[in-house]
Amino acid sequence: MTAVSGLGVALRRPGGETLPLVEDVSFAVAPGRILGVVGETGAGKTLTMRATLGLSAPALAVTGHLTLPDGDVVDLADRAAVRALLGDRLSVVLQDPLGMLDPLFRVGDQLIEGVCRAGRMTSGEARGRAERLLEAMGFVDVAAVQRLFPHELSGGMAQRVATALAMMARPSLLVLDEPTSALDASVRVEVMRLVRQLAAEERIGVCLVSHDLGVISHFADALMVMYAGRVLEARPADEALHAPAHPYTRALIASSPSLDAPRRRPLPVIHGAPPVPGTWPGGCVFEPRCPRAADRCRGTRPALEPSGAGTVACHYRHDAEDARHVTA
Amino acid sequence: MSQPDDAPILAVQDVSRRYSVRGGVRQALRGVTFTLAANATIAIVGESGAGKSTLTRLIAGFERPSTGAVLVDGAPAAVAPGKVAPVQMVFQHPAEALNRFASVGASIGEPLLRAPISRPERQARVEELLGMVGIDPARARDRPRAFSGGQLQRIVLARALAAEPRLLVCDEPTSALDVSVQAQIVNLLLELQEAKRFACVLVTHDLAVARVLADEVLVLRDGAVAEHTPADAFFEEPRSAYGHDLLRTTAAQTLNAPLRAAERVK
Amino acid sequence: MGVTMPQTAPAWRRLATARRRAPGTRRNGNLTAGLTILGLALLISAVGHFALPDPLHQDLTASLAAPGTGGHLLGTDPLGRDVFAWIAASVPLSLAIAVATVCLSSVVGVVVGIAAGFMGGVVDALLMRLVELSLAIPPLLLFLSASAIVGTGTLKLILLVSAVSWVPYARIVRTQVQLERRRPSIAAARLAGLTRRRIVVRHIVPSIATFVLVLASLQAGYVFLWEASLSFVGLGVQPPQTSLGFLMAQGRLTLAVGWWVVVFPGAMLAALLLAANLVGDGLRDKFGLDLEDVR
Repeated sequence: MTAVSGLGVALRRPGGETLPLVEDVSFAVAPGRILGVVGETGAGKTLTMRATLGLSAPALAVTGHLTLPDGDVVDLADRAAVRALLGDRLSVVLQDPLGMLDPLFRVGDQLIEGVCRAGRMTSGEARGRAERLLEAMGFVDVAAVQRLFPHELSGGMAQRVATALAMMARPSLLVLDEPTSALDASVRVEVMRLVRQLAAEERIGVCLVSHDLGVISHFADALMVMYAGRVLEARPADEALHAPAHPYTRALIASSPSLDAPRRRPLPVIHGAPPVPGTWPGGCVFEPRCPRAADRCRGTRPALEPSGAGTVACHYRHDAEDARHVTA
Repeated sequence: MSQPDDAPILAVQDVSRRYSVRGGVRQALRGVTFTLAANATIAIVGESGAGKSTLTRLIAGFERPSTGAVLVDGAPAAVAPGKVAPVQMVFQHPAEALNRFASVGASIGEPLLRAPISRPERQARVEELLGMVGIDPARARDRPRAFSGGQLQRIVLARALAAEPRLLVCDEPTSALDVSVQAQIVNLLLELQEAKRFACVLVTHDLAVARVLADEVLVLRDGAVAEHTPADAFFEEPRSAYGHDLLRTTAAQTLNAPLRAAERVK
Repeated sequence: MGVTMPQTAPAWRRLATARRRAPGTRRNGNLTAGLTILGLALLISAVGHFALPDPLHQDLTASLAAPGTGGHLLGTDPLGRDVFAWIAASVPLSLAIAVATVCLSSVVGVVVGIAAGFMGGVVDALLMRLVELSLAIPPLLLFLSASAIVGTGTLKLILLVSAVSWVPYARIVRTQVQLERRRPSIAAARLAGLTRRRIVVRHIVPSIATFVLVLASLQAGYVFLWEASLSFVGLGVQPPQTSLGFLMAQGRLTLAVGWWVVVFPGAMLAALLLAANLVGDGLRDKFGLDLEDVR
């Protein structure tokens, strides 16, 4: 298990004050499993991921700890220590796959460069692994792909190459940040299938960050729902999608695009917009938009507490449990 | 439900479009034919490179077809300076569809410049349109950078409405927007279309959006029509193998019906 | 490939930068420095106008007086003209010539650039051939030949220097216009029935304004240099008008014994050039522009 506990990100303002952007996020990813981190733009998903990888901007203050499968614990505030793990035990594929590849060098050379430089493998071993990974990512003529330059790759190819690159060092945790938004629909499915298969084979834990609940629903084993810088709900995917405990999760599911929506009928929407950092409500952060908002929601912020096979931060969590028992 | 009037608002007749490129000719469209009734919505779906953008430009009148004809209200589609077009557009990236140096009110007022109305009247109309799309009319003097993506798309819609279009061409109107905002824009389109009774050509790669908005589905593949089917029938059972593939691919990455049914029960 | 999401700055970053650019915070050293130098130069001119002797006044008894002697702070030239007074009188003229040239060349360049970028096709091809022609002719050769035909003088100087300086504007404006044309906002404007003129004025011109401003500042530096060079060889500004270049030419032959006649005007010229470049760089940084083709 790779686990993150108590992750917080705050913006350091001139004058000493700090503005919290992400508060108290904890999650764990088992090897070979996919954790889907879902939330709207501004929920803090990307900030969380960058903090986990040591890639936060210098103006941000990070707190929290990263626990690796072998038991090592790293303080996330020590960016240098975390960054030393990047490309080794931690890996990432960012939203723009071409941005991760150096335009001056061939694909094959870039794949082996990192692991060879770090002394993890000989160049022969690295080449072998690169070929295996490229095959696993669906490339037929592996030799030909390795000779290509990044600009000769299509969007889908670049995404698959970047993913193979990220897996070269056999990381404990691979973060995929909105991996499919720039891809065609057909390529999107292909890439995600390959990633899921490869992650299972290689025992790599995957963190899939996306605002697209559709993609997450098909490929994630567990779900973590973020809103206004915190976790509102986390549980196994099946349970989250069939019996969500948090009204926000329920609303997200209801308003996600689907193919069975009735023609020419308005879609369910979550009215309003997520709060901007600095304007978070004092009580429950979702309360202004929640269909079940009550006085206690305005007054006290619900803590993240166990519920079913996961956790939820909602005053109604007991009601959710009762409902689940009834339908089960 | 909208009742189509008798004469089709849009007639695409055996349209082909060729481009000369380095080393030859690129056939972007070949033999595309369809009509669209006055209040109906047709979704044009297909993958990148299928010719959707080209078709959009022909319908809007920015280009003329190499062969065949595109008729809007019986007349060949053509954009002319000094004339407000009967076809208006909504674009994929709303921030790029607005003049970043002008207030949003000024942009919305652009189609009204030719109209025989006074400045205050134009102002009032702009504020009315802003209200219609859910934006506070007091913000008419703000620049585009003061708004979010979803708000900008509403403003783009307001501008399109100012021209009182007979046909609205929407080119991937929700693709660049956050998922929760997409539903809001879809609903707004539905509402406005019911109120203003314009026809709509919705170009999209997102079948889920087409599901809600479209009365008919036209599948483009490599510049040719793979199928043209009423929407309900298409989503039930596409007539072409390619249409089948597209639908299956979308289903593999969209929230499943059984999941949503469970939600509705609660 | 597929559908792209334009990368916009995340919300927290907008909050961070909003604070930093609060009024009163000094971030742009270049711009301030450049303007300061210009300010000082103008100050010197003002002082000179009121406190110093007539620069044209020749006094052969005080020929090549060293700096500090006989009341001449920076010395005199071979004909006894006060160097400080001459420099002070030259600055406003140099600035005026620069402003005039920049205005003229920018207007010509912008019009050509907009025409080429907006209309494309044959017009673009023709105008670009004109640009290439302009670039192919060595400016000095052009100036020498032209002066031989039309004579010398300040006005002709402005016209000649403009004739070679309009090209960078045209190129940068053309590129920018070509980019802007592709924007959906232009398509929407056409659908809204806007005339071409209105599209150019309301949509295109604002997008090139910052480029032109930055380029103009940098070009002003070149004008200072050209004006001085032409005056140096006797083609530009003629007395009774005063030019830094003219004075430097006066001191050329007596450089060994009268270095101040060349060095002080040279220093002022360098200062003006530096100021122009600092202002240009400062504006470029302030507007965040990427100007590759700036001659």
